[in-house]
This record gives sequence, C-alpha cells and structure tokens, in this order.
Amino acid sequence: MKWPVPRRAQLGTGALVVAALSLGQVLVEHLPSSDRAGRPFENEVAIGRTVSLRTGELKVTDVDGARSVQPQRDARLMSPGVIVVVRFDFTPRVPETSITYGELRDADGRVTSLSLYGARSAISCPTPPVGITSHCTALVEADPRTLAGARLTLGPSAIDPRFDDVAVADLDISARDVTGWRNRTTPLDVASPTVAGMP
Amino acid sequence: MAGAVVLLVSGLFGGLREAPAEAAVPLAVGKPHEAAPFTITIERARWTSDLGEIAKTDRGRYLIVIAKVRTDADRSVDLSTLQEALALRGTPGIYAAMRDEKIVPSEKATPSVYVLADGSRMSQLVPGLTYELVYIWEQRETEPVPAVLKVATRSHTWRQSSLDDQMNWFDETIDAVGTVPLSKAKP
Repeated sequence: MKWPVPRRAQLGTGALVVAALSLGQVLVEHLPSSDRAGRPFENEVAIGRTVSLRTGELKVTDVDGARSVQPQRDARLMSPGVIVVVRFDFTPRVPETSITYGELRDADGRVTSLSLYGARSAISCPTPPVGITSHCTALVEADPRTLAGARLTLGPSAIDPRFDDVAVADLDISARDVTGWRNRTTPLDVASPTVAGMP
Repeated sequence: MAGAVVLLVSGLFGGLREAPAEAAVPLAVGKPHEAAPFTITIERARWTSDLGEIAKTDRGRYLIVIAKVRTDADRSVDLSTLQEALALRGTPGIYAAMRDEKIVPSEKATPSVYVLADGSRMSQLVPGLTYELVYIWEQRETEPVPAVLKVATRSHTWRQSSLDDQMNWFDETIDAVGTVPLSKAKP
C-alpha cells in the first residue's frame, strides 16, 4: 500500500492551522477569565435609598418575610424555609426596560437565582414607559439559618447580567427578623406589581 | 491511524474529556442517597388518574414517586437538573411528559415535579432547604398497573459549558437503582 504524500503547500497550511489553534489556546489561558472580565458593575444600595443604573433608577422600599405567602393573583406558597418579599421601585430611562434579573446571596455566600413569573423565587416587574415608576416585587425562598445579612442583586437582563449595571441591596435582615417571620402563623399577603398612576 | 492523530492533536488543546461511566448502587426506600448536587430520599410511590387541581387523565394513569430532596450546593439548582435526577426504568407505555402524545422509553421521559406542601409547580431548589417533592409520569391505559416501580437516581457534574462558558450541572449519570412498591393513591 502506498501512503499519499502531502505536497509542501498542504503541509504548510496544516502547520499554520495548528499554529493558529495553539496561539488561540495560549491567549485563552492568559487573558482574564470571562468570569472576571465580564462581571457586572455592582452598585451598592441600602433600603430606602435610590441607585442610578444604566437603564434607570431603582429603590428598595420594603422587606418582609414568612413561611407562607399569598400572592394576590397566584396560589399560596409554603416554604420549608422562609420566603422573603422585597418590594422595589424601578423608573426606566431606557425604553422597554425592566428589572428581570435577581439573585439572593445569603450570609454563607450561597446564591439563589430568581426567575420571572411562575417560579417559586421570582421577580414581578412591569415594563413602564420611560420616566414612569413600576412598583415591583421579588419573592425568594431562603434558608432561615443563613438569611440574616443577605443581599439581593437586581438587574435588567434576565438571561445574562455580565457587562451590565446591577444594584446590590443590603436587605438589612437581622436574626430577630428571621425568627419573627418563621413564627408568623398566617400567610403574608403579597400585592401584585403596579405601574404608578394605573389602578 | 486517524484516531491516533485525533488524540495527538486534541492533546494540544486540553485533550478529550473522559465519558462518565455508569456504576449504579442499590437505592433503598427511606435511605438518603447522594446524587450530586442532591441528597434524595425516596419515600413512597402511588398511582392515580386524578391529581385534583394539577391534572386529570382519561388515557391512563399517573405514576408518582414522592421523595425528599435537598441540595447543599453553593447555588440554587434549576428545574431541569431536578427532573433529570430521578428516572423510571423499564416501565412500559410512559409518555414523554404529562399531556405529551409520544411514548418513550421510561428513562427518557421528563417527569413533572410539584411541591407536596402547597401543590405548586417546583422551580429552583434552594441551598440548605429540604423539599418533599412529587415526581409524576403518565402511563397509557393499555399497560397493566405495575406492582413496583424501578427508580433510578442520576448524579451530575458541575462544569463549564463548552458552548457559552457558563457553569452548570451537566453529564447526568445513573448512580443508583432500586424498586419502590406501588399502591393506589387514596382520594
């Protein structure tokens, strides 16, 4: 059997392809990791204070919690832990924007991602016209043992927060708050989100 | 020869990933089993054609496994990983999902998952909390009601996606198999 002998040009092309792939691998290994380079711009904010994001103004107005909550338009939820109810206002300065990304980081650094409508831990925030305020809600289940000191991150992109402005709110939850929430015997009513000026 | 070249060249870019091997251990009712990222305790199995407000079927029955599930991972775990964590094996006539028309091998069917305490659809599993979950498969009417369900757990590996660099749970692998007696649910 006679093996095909590659021509010089074919060998050269092959060598260039391997060299380019190797160079790409070296670059990937030495450039900053995508986690670091693409991390969101975090803007810290306390309850009752307003933070300015790329897409609008955000203010956390209230934090409450219970083992069971009764959303205005959904079925009652009961948690093996605690459900934290965070109310916040969002006033967009960019058309067609809202707050759709959220994650709770507890005192042990564990993270719970919030989804959009329909999930047990979810954000409900209408998309108002520019300059009009939405009164929004975030519901998130949490482990009561590590809830005191938790922080909530909120941002405009549900799919991917990288490279964007997000708010990081210290929820100012104490161990005493958590004990009170766990001992609540009736479900906490949660009003549906609204847009200012609309019923 | 071609295989050797592939191996040689792939070595320059980190090599080929080893395929996960399936090595199942016995799965016992009532005994916690670690199937990353979960600890799963199978409690009981029931069948019914009426799930109340969740669903009713006139084309067969629902096969239900109730299990306590917990994660101690650093991040909440999404529903698809939770669905993959439990499978039926060797059960004939299982629909691909509730209300789906297609019959598939039972281990390929996607169960619906609900929270027993409030009947809500399960979504993400929160670190540190133990949920009592209801896994539901639908079986066609022409099959006899099984006396037992053969149930398998799958473990996952936390790694970076080769498509978008995001970290997630991948590579589900059956790691335990056991049987659970099946009885009719009381109305």
